[in-house]
Amino acid sequence: MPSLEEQYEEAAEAYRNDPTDENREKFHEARDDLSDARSNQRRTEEQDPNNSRGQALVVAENDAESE
Amino acid sequence: MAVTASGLYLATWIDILDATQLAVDLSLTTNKIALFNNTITPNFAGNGDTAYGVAPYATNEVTGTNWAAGGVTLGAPTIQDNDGTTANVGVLRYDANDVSVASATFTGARCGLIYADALAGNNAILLVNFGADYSPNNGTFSIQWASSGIFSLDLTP
Repeated sequence: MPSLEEQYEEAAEAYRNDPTDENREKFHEARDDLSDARSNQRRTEEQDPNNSRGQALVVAENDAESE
Repeated sequence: MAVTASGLYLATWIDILDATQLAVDLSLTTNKIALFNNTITPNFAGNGDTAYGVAPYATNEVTGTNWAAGGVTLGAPTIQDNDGTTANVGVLRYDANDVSVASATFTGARCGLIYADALAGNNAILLVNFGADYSPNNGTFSIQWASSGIFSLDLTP
């Protein structure tokens, strides 16, 4: 089964190519499904379990050998 | 000279909304984020900064191994009425996949400029202040957006 991201991209392309009300609804449904899953995942990430930042979390790792 | 805040670029947003009808499409997967160091001083005002490749974004770009000039695209962008928790509450939210680039090496990334690469003008959409310099050394560079998205506008405060 396509991922939520794939479903969203397919729905977005379909809507752009044929902007009917039906395609718009499918586009929005796919968007909301992807967006909700993404937000829920971020809230459960270890870096920010409380989701209190309201900001982007940037991480720059170093090669283990350079540590 | 320094980056002290994130912000939306009024010059672009005015052009989107007025008779200019600038064709910025936030749902495109061609919008990019490029990195800049802390030498620049962004100007978000209507008579301020306008685009990637135009001062101050014509210099001081941070590039390196696995991070080329111009930056990377933002995947699966979404625009909706959602505050990060609840839908249809009068909050315009722009979000996209988190950024993650493996085996990257560069120095001093202080901020990310999101711009419309699909447009000839490379119009600046917004700047994200990282709050500190980031310098991966053959490691993963990642930007995890907040659950409230890359930016959100409360249109019904």
